[in-house]
Amino acid sequence: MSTQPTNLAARGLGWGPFAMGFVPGLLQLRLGQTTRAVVAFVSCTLLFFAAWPIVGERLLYWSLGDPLADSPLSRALVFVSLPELLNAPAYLLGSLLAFDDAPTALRLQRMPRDFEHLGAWLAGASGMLAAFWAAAGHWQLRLRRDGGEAPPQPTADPALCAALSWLVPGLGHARAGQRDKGLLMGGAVLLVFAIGMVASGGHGVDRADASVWWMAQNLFGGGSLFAALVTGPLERVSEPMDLQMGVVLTCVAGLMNLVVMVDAYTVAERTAFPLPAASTEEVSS
Amino acid sequence: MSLLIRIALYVPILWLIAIVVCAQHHGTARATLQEAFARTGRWLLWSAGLLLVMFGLELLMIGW
Repeated sequence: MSTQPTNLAARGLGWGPFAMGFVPGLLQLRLGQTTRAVVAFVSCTLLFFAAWPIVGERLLYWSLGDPLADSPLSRALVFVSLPELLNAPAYLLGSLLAFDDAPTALRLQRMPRDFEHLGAWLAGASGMLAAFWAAAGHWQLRLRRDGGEAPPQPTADPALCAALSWLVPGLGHARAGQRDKGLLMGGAVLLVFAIGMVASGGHGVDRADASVWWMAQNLFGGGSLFAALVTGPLERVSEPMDLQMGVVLTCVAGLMNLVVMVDAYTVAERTAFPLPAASTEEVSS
Repeated sequence: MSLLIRIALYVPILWLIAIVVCAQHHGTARATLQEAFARTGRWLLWSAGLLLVMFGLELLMIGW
Protein backbone atom coordinates (compact mmCIF):
# COMPACT_ATOMS: atom_id res chain seq x y z
CA MET A 1 0.00 0.00 0.00
CA SER A 2 1.32 3.44 -0.88
CA THR A 3 1.88 5.76 2.03
CA GLN A 4 3.26 8.57 -0.13
CA PRO A 5 3.00 11.90 1.72
CA THR A 6 0.16 14.03 0.46
CA ASN A 7 0.43 17.70 -0.40
CA LEU A 8 -2.73 19.14 1.14
CA ALA A 9 -2.39 22.38 -0.85
CA ALA A 10 -2.82 20.38 -4.04
CA ARG A 11 -6.35 19.47 -2.93
CA GLY A 12 -8.43 22.37 -4.14
CA LEU A 13 -11.41 23.82 -2.34
CA GLY A 14 -13.80 23.17 -5.22
CA TRP A 15 -15.70 25.27 -7.73
CA GLY A 16 -18.04 26.80 -5.14
CA PRO A 17 -15.40 28.83 -3.28
CA PHE A 18 -13.77 29.67 -6.63
CA ALA A 19 -17.00 31.20 -7.95
CA MET A 20 -17.67 32.96 -4.64
CA GLY A 21 -14.32 34.71 -5.01
CA PHE A 22 -15.76 36.88 -7.77
CA VAL A 23 -18.05 38.64 -5.26
CA PRO A 24 -15.87 40.52 -2.75
CA GLY A 25 -16.71 39.57 0.82
CA LEU A 26 -18.81 36.50 0.00
CA LEU A 27 -16.11 34.06 1.17
CA GLN A 28 -15.69 36.06 4.39
CA LEU A 29 -19.46 35.95 4.88
CA ARG A 30 -19.38 32.16 4.48
CA LEU A 31 -16.62 32.05 7.09
CA GLY A 32 -18.79 34.06 9.49
CA GLN A 33 -16.49 37.12 9.33
CA THR A 34 -19.20 39.73 8.83
CA THR A 35 -17.07 42.82 9.44
CA ARG A 36 -14.35 41.64 7.06
CA ALA A 37 -17.03 40.80 4.49
CA VAL A 38 -18.43 44.33 4.66
CA VAL A 39 -14.95 45.87 4.47
CA ALA A 40 -14.06 43.69 1.46
CA PHE A 41 -17.23 44.55 -0.44
CA VAL A 42 -17.16 48.26 0.38
CA SER A 43 -13.43 48.71 -0.39
CA CYS A 44 -13.70 47.04 -3.82
CA THR A 45 -16.93 48.83 -4.73
CA LEU A 46 -15.64 52.24 -3.60
CA LEU A 47 -12.41 51.80 -5.57
CA PHE A 48 -14.33 50.88 -8.72
CA PHE A 49 -16.78 53.77 -8.42
CA ALA A 50 -13.94 56.18 -7.63
CA ALA A 51 -12.67 55.36 -11.13
CA TRP A 52 -16.10 55.36 -12.74
CA PRO A 53 -16.60 59.17 -13.02
CA ILE A 54 -13.26 59.34 -14.88
CA VAL A 55 -13.49 56.38 -17.24
CA GLY A 56 -17.23 55.62 -17.45
CA GLU A 57 -18.27 53.82 -20.63
CA ARG A 58 -14.68 53.89 -21.92
CA LEU A 59 -14.15 50.73 -19.87
CA LEU A 60 -16.25 48.93 -22.50
CA TYR A 61 -13.84 50.12 -25.20
CA TRP A 62 -11.00 48.47 -23.25
CA SER A 63 -12.84 45.15 -22.94
CA LEU A 64 -12.10 41.99 -24.94
CA GLY A 65 -15.21 42.23 -27.13
CA ASP A 66 -16.72 44.39 -29.81
CA PRO A 67 -20.41 45.42 -29.60
CA LEU A 68 -20.64 45.64 -33.41
CA ALA A 69 -19.05 42.24 -34.12
CA ASP A 70 -20.95 39.59 -36.08
CA SER A 71 -20.01 36.82 -33.69
CA PRO A 72 -22.20 36.51 -30.56
CA LEU A 73 -19.10 35.52 -28.55
CA SER A 74 -17.31 38.73 -29.45
CA ARG A 75 -20.41 40.74 -28.52
CA ALA A 76 -20.67 38.94 -25.18
CA LEU A 77 -17.01 39.64 -24.47
CA VAL A 78 -17.85 43.35 -24.28
CA PHE A 79 -18.69 42.54 -20.66
CA VAL A 80 -15.27 40.98 -20.06
CA SER A 81 -12.56 43.37 -19.01
CA LEU A 82 -9.71 42.18 -16.84
CA PRO A 83 -8.96 42.61 -14.02
CA GLU A 84 -12.22 44.50 -13.34
CA LEU A 85 -14.28 41.35 -13.88
CA LEU A 86 -12.74 39.91 -10.71
CA ASN A 87 -14.82 42.55 -8.90
CA ALA A 88 -17.89 41.21 -10.67
CA PRO A 89 -20.83 43.02 -8.98
CA ALA A 90 -19.47 46.55 -9.40
CA TYR A 91 -18.05 45.93 -12.85
CA LEU A 92 -21.15 44.28 -14.26
CA LEU A 93 -23.36 47.02 -12.79
CA GLY A 94 -21.11 49.67 -14.36
CA SER A 95 -21.06 47.86 -17.72
CA LEU A 96 -24.82 47.48 -17.83
CA LEU A 97 -25.30 51.16 -16.93
CA ALA A 98 -22.88 52.23 -19.65
CA PHE A 99 -23.81 49.75 -22.38
CA ASP A 100 -25.07 51.45 -25.50
CA ASP A 101 -24.30 50.20 -29.00
CA ALA A 102 -25.64 53.30 -30.78
CA PRO A 103 -23.04 54.93 -33.09
CA THR A 104 -22.92 58.10 -30.97
CA ALA A 105 -22.22 56.08 -27.83
CA LEU A 106 -19.51 54.09 -29.59
CA ARG A 107 -17.86 57.34 -30.67
CA LEU A 108 -17.95 58.51 -27.05
CA GLN A 109 -16.22 55.29 -25.94
CA ARG A 110 -13.35 56.02 -28.32
CA MET A 111 -12.77 59.56 -27.06
CA PRO A 112 -9.86 60.02 -24.64
CA ARG A 113 -10.73 61.43 -21.21
CA ASP A 114 -8.87 63.64 -18.77
CA PHE A 115 -6.98 61.57 -16.20
CA GLU A 116 -8.07 58.36 -17.93
CA HIS A 117 -4.74 56.64 -17.18
CA LEU A 118 -5.31 57.07 -13.46
CA GLY A 119 -8.97 56.07 -13.78
CA ALA A 120 -7.99 52.93 -15.69
CA TRP A 121 -5.50 51.97 -13.01
CA LEU A 122 -8.02 52.54 -10.20
CA ALA A 123 -10.65 50.42 -11.96
CA GLY A 124 -8.06 47.68 -12.49
CA ALA A 125 -6.92 47.96 -8.86
CA SER A 126 -10.51 47.29 -7.72
CA GLY A 127 -10.37 43.96 -9.57
CA MET A 128 -6.96 43.10 -8.13
CA LEU A 129 -8.13 44.03 -4.62
CA ALA A 130 -11.12 41.71 -5.07
CA ALA A 131 -8.72 38.93 -6.10
CA PHE A 132 -6.62 39.46 -2.96
CA TRP A 133 -9.73 39.41 -0.75
CA ALA A 134 -10.69 36.14 -2.47
CA ALA A 135 -7.19 34.77 -1.81
CA ALA A 136 -7.55 35.75 1.86
CA GLY A 137 -10.89 33.94 2.01
CA HIS A 138 -9.40 30.83 0.40
CA TRP A 139 -6.56 30.85 2.90
CA GLN A 140 -9.00 31.01 5.83
CA LEU A 141 -11.02 28.12 4.34
CA ARG A 142 -7.82 26.12 3.94
CA LEU A 143 -6.87 26.80 7.57
CA ARG A 144 -10.27 25.51 8.71
CA ARG A 145 -10.04 22.42 6.51
CA ASP A 146 -6.46 21.37 7.20
CA GLY A 147 -5.51 23.21 10.41
CA GLY A 148 -7.39 21.10 12.93
CA GLU A 149 -8.36 22.47 16.31
CA ALA A 150 -5.24 24.62 16.71
CA PRO A 151 -4.55 25.99 13.22
CA PRO A 152 -0.86 26.79 12.57
CA GLN A 153 -0.02 30.45 12.05
CA PRO A 154 2.05 31.50 9.03
CA THR A 155 4.79 34.12 9.43
CA ALA A 156 2.65 36.43 7.29
CA ASP A 157 -0.79 36.30 5.69
CA PRO A 158 -0.29 34.65 2.25
CA ALA A 159 -2.84 36.92 0.55
CA LEU A 160 -1.12 39.99 1.98
CA CYS A 161 2.23 38.71 0.67
CA ALA A 162 0.74 38.33 -2.81
CA ALA A 163 -0.77 41.82 -2.63
CA LEU A 164 2.55 43.35 -1.52
CA SER A 165 4.29 41.61 -4.43
CA TRP A 166 1.74 43.06 -6.81
CA LEU A 167 2.77 46.58 -5.81
CA VAL A 168 6.49 45.96 -5.21
CA PRO A 169 7.81 42.68 -6.66
CA GLY A 170 9.68 40.72 -4.01
CA LEU A 171 8.20 42.59 -1.02
CA GLY A 172 5.88 39.67 -0.31
CA HIS A 173 8.86 37.29 -0.09
CA ALA A 174 10.61 39.66 2.31
CA ARG A 175 7.46 39.72 4.47
CA ALA A 176 7.29 35.92 4.38
CA GLY A 177 10.93 35.57 5.43
CA GLN A 178 12.83 35.06 2.15
CA ARG A 179 14.40 38.50 1.75
CA ASP A 180 17.30 37.62 -0.57
CA LYS A 181 15.13 35.56 -2.89
CA GLY A 182 12.55 38.36 -2.95
CA LEU A 183 15.25 40.87 -3.83
CA LEU A 184 16.45 38.67 -6.70
CA MET A 185 12.98 37.97 -8.12
CA GLY A 186 11.83 41.57 -7.66
CA GLY A 187 15.01 42.88 -9.28
CA ALA A 188 14.46 40.62 -12.29
CA VAL A 189 10.88 41.86 -12.78
CA LEU A 190 11.86 45.51 -12.32
CA LEU A 191 14.73 45.22 -14.77
CA VAL A 192 12.62 43.66 -17.53
CA PHE A 193 9.92 46.28 -16.94
CA ALA A 194 12.48 49.12 -16.99
CA ILE A 195 14.07 47.88 -20.23
CA GLY A 196 10.60 47.73 -21.78
CA MET A 197 9.78 51.25 -20.64
CA VAL A 198 13.07 52.65 -21.97
CA ALA A 199 12.65 50.85 -25.31
CA SER A 200 9.14 52.22 -25.73
CA GLY A 201 10.05 55.73 -24.64
CA GLY A 202 7.70 55.35 -21.68
CA HIS A 203 4.66 54.60 -23.86
CA GLY A 204 4.69 50.81 -23.70
CA VAL A 205 2.19 50.72 -20.84
CA ASP A 206 -0.89 52.60 -21.98
CA ARG A 207 -4.36 51.11 -21.63
CA ALA A 208 -5.80 53.59 -24.10
CA ASP A 209 -3.45 52.32 -26.83
CA ALA A 210 -2.95 48.64 -26.06
CA SER A 211 -5.69 47.54 -23.67
CA VAL A 212 -5.22 43.78 -24.11
CA TRP A 213 -1.47 44.01 -23.42
CA TRP A 214 -2.26 46.19 -20.43
CA MET A 215 -4.19 43.33 -18.81
CA ALA A 216 -0.88 41.47 -18.41
CA GLN A 217 1.21 44.59 -17.74
CA ASN A 218 -1.10 45.44 -14.83
CA LEU A 219 -0.04 42.24 -13.07
CA PHE A 220 2.85 44.43 -11.92
CA GLY A 221 0.68 47.01 -10.14
CA GLY A 222 3.52 49.29 -9.06
CA GLY A 223 4.78 49.52 -12.63
CA SER A 224 1.39 50.18 -14.15
CA LEU A 225 0.73 52.83 -11.46
CA PHE A 226 4.02 54.54 -12.36
CA ALA A 227 3.00 54.46 -16.02
CA ALA A 228 -0.47 55.80 -15.20
CA LEU A 229 0.88 58.72 -13.17
CA VAL A 230 4.12 59.61 -14.93
CA THR A 231 4.61 58.30 -18.46
CA GLY A 232 1.04 57.65 -19.66
CA PRO A 233 -0.12 61.28 -19.72
CA LEU A 234 3.08 62.45 -21.50
CA GLU A 235 2.80 63.57 -25.10
CA ARG A 236 4.73 61.64 -27.70
CA VAL A 237 7.27 64.08 -29.03
CA SER A 238 9.65 61.65 -30.68
CA GLU A 239 9.68 58.16 -32.13
CA PRO A 240 10.52 55.56 -29.41
CA MET A 241 13.50 53.25 -29.83
CA ASP A 242 11.30 50.17 -30.28
CA LEU A 243 7.67 50.51 -29.22
CA GLN A 244 6.67 46.92 -30.02
CA MET A 245 9.53 45.44 -28.03
CA GLY A 246 8.73 47.78 -25.14
CA VAL A 247 5.08 46.66 -25.06
CA VAL A 248 6.08 42.98 -25.16
CA LEU A 249 8.77 43.32 -22.47
CA THR A 250 6.53 45.20 -20.04
CA CYS A 251 3.91 42.51 -20.67
CA VAL A 252 6.50 39.81 -19.93
CA ALA A 253 7.42 41.67 -16.72
CA GLY A 254 3.75 41.57 -15.67
CA LEU A 255 3.54 37.84 -16.32
CA MET A 256 6.80 37.30 -14.42
CA ASN A 257 5.27 39.17 -11.51
CA LEU A 258 2.27 36.83 -11.56
CA VAL A 259 4.75 34.02 -10.85
CA VAL A 260 6.32 36.15 -8.10
CA MET A 261 2.90 36.78 -6.50
CA VAL A 262 1.93 33.10 -6.55
CA ASP A 263 5.33 32.12 -5.15
CA ALA A 264 5.06 34.72 -2.35
CA TYR A 265 1.68 33.23 -1.42
CA THR A 266 3.16 29.72 -1.46
CA VAL A 267 6.22 30.69 0.61
CA ALA A 268 3.98 32.19 3.32
CA GLU A 269 1.60 29.23 3.10
CA ARG A 270 4.43 26.74 3.65
CA THR A 271 5.47 28.43 6.88
CA ALA A 272 2.16 27.11 8.24
CA PHE A 273 1.83 23.93 6.18
CA PRO A 274 5.33 22.74 5.24
CA LEU A 275 5.60 20.19 2.46
CA PRO A 276 6.02 16.72 3.89
CA ALA A 277 9.51 15.32 3.38
CA ALA A 278 9.43 12.33 1.04
CA SER A 279 11.78 9.97 2.84
CA THR A 280 12.35 6.33 1.93
CA GLU A 281 10.53 5.23 5.07
CA GLU A 282 7.43 7.20 4.11
CA VAL A 283 7.31 6.03 0.50
CA SER A 284 6.80 2.32 0.22
CA SER A 285 4.88 0.16 -2.13
CA MET B 1 19.40 48.63 -35.67
CA SER B 2 16.20 47.40 -34.06
CA LEU B 3 17.12 43.77 -34.81
CA LEU B 4 20.59 44.27 -33.32
CA ILE B 5 19.10 45.69 -30.11
CA ARG B 6 16.69 42.77 -29.87
CA ILE B 7 19.46 40.21 -30.33
CA ALA B 8 21.65 41.96 -27.74
CA LEU B 9 18.81 41.95 -25.21
CA TYR B 10 17.67 38.38 -25.83
CA VAL B 11 20.16 36.57 -23.57
CA PRO B 12 19.94 38.87 -20.51
CA ILE B 13 16.12 38.89 -20.71
CA LEU B 14 16.10 35.10 -20.96
CA TRP B 15 18.32 34.93 -17.86
CA LEU B 16 16.02 37.29 -15.91
CA ILE B 17 13.00 35.15 -16.81
CA ALA B 18 14.94 32.02 -15.80
CA ILE B 19 15.62 33.58 -12.39
CA VAL B 20 11.89 33.99 -11.71
CA VAL B 21 11.08 30.50 -13.01
CA CYS B 22 13.86 28.77 -11.03
CA ALA B 23 13.21 30.73 -7.82
CA GLN B 24 9.96 28.82 -7.38
CA HIS B 25 11.96 25.65 -6.67
CA HIS B 26 14.53 27.13 -4.26
CA GLY B 27 14.52 28.96 -0.96
CA THR B 28 17.68 31.02 -1.44
CA ALA B 29 19.02 33.45 -4.02
CA ARG B 30 22.31 31.54 -4.39
CA ALA B 31 20.65 28.26 -5.37
CA THR B 32 18.28 30.13 -7.67
CA LEU B 33 21.15 31.84 -9.51
CA GLN B 34 23.04 28.59 -10.00
CA GLU B 35 20.06 26.92 -11.62
CA ALA B 36 19.14 30.04 -13.62
CA PHE B 37 22.51 30.01 -15.42
CA ALA B 38 22.13 26.36 -16.38
CA ARG B 39 18.53 26.84 -17.48
CA THR B 40 19.39 29.89 -19.60
CA GLY B 41 21.96 27.73 -21.39
CA ARG B 42 19.36 25.06 -22.07
CA TRP B 43 16.84 27.65 -23.29
CA LEU B 44 19.47 29.10 -25.63
CA LEU B 45 19.96 25.67 -27.16
CA TRP B 46 16.22 25.35 -27.63
CA SER B 47 16.14 28.85 -29.17
CA ALA B 48 18.88 27.89 -31.62
CA GLY B 49 16.96 24.72 -32.51
CA LEU B 50 13.77 26.71 -33.03
CA LEU B 51 15.64 29.17 -35.23
CA LEU B 52 17.02 26.34 -37.34
CA VAL B 53 13.56 24.78 -37.74
CA MET B 54 12.09 28.13 -38.77
CA PHE B 55 14.94 28.71 -41.21
CA GLY B 56 14.38 25.23 -42.63
CA LEU B 57 10.65 25.88 -43.05
CA GLU B 58 11.44 29.17 -44.76
CA LEU B 59 13.77 27.43 -47.20
CA LEU B 60 11.17 24.75 -47.82
CA MET B 61 8.28 27.08 -48.46
CA ILE B 62 9.89 30.20 -49.92
CA GLY B 63 13.18 28.90 -51.21
CA TRP B 64 16.69 30.37 -51.03
